[in-house]
Amino acid sequence: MREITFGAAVNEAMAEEMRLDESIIILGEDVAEAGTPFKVLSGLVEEFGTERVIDTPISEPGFTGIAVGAAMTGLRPIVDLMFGDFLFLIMDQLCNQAAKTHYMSGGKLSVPMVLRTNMGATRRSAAQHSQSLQALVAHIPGLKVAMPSSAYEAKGLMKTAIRDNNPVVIFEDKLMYNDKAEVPEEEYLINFGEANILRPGTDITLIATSSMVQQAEMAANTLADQNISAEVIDPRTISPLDETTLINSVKKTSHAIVIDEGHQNYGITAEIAARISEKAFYYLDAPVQRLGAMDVPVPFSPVLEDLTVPTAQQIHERVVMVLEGKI
Amino acid sequence: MAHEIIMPALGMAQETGRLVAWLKNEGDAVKKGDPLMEVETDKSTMEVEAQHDGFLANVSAFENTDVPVGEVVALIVENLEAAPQEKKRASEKNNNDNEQNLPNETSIKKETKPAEDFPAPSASNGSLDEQKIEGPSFTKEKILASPKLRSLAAAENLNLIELKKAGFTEPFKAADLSSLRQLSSHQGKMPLRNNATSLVSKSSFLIFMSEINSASEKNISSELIFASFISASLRVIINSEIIGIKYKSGEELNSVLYQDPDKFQLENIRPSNNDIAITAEVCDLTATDFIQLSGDINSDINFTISDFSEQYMITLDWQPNKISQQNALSLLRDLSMRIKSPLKQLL
Repeated sequence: MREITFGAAVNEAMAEEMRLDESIIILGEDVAEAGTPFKVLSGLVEEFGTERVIDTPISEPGFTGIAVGAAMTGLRPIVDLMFGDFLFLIMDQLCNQAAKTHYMSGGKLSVPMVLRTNMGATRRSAAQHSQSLQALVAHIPGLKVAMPSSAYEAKGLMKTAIRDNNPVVIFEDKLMYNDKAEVPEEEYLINFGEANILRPGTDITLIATSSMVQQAEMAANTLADQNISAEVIDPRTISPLDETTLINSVKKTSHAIVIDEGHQNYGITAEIAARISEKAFYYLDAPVQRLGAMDVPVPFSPVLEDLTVPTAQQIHERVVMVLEGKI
Repeated sequence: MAHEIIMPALGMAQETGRLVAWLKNEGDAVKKGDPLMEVETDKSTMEVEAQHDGFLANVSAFENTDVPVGEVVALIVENLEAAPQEKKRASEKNNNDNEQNLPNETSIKKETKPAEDFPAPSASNGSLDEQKIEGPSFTKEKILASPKLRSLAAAENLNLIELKKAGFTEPFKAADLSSLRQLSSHQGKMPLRNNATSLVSKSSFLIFMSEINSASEKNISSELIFASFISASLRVIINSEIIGIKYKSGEELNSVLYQDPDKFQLENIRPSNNDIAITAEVCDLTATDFIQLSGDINSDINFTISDFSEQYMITLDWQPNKISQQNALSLLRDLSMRIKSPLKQLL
């Protein structure tokens, strides 16, 4: 099967959907001429024109507000938020308006909008361009949150997001745009709320999102050399969350570690760990562990920055500690 | 049917109320609406009325004391005989509460089979005795164990405290279940057994067997010789006129009973149909491929005999409460000697 990059997969998903549905537009900073700083959208303005691929002024609240209104009145906008860190600027448009419109209008209005943005540290972009803020959005009822972990996932989840009649936020790891994976030429969708068991195992369940899926898989490989069988699960969407798959896995393995690149405090790892403790408590043979980003502003110093993000080695070490009863 | 009378909350942030006075005495008949007690809070007093007809019973709060809101201070019962015997003063109850809530262990204990070392406290035993029996250090502490082990142990009615007593490291995990099972079975009906094994050269025994078979016309099996030797060895340590040996042998390990086989000529030894006590059991595995077999042991002394290349492997498995280690070892030594040098028997 052909291999394409994560960025190309996102591009392909958007282009395919835009060809199918003329109501889909893209708006954001540097989306047209520049094709975004990560070049993910290159070529789209040439095919679909500036009417549908719209460069906006530098005003995130402005263009997100425009998109919410356009979505309520018949278009299907894809908002490009250049950095996930800018979410703080659009909280009202996203969380107060987009997330609640369908509910507050008694179902008369809906907001079929996709907000694609990014996450991930270790790009030497300092504290205001390196955050992973998925927990902030997943906390709000009315928003769906997808976290693709590969090119294949990115394309399938983006297409599903565009076809969803409710606001969806997609977090792409900005360090994965050049990672290649097998992506079929024929069309496919990935359903929301269906976790992916990447590697079956019997001793411990590693639940990892986005960039952390790779780390978990690497850890599972080195653990296999020690005869430790780790099951790696990618929830794909953290809202809705495929609780059943996660719980069933933990019932089988009796051990779990949750890994996400967001800050650990009050984060995705906390939520998933809590659900496991609630619903698989009597099957647990050790406390559920969390590995999230260190609870500090992401440092600019490369040496320090690298220390703040969970790694395969950390996962490996934690697994051994859990299974040896040292926790 | 008893109705509880509780200290009411009369203010917003009130934690206790002062019981100023009882307006009825214990045992008095009360009617619904009768004032029962006077309660003071935040400088106001009010009367608490009975909500049911009956008799005032189990008064547990003194006048002029502060009682936590929600605390039961008395009962209204339909007839006085039915009043629960248990009577606690409200002021003491807090202490008792701690005792009741703390040890989950106590409730777990009740579920497990009473072990010999820890007889179930009878009703006549005071709480002091109970503490002595269980040991305060075990009943008052929490046991750290994984939820998985707890549920597995609960399903088999096993008490985690056995792991703690045996000195296992907390927190206990599912991997400790097999140890817990063993500890619990020893605690319960099956006593811990000890064993010792010796290896004895076959050569003299086989020569002995072929010689007596060529002398007598009958075919004397190793089984008869073993039974005879074991019986003779047992007599050294057992104060019993009659020695009964339950002997399992052959491929199917069918059992027969021998009575005092050492008192007969080898060719005259016959299985017994008498109803006699079994002194020892012998599991003769020489006709099988096995060298060890555990379980299904009912007597205090059990021998297992098996082929081990040019040697016999003889395992003695004994119940330490009944047989001392000294006696057990001399028994095994004596038998090994007889098999090793069977001709000495005849001298």
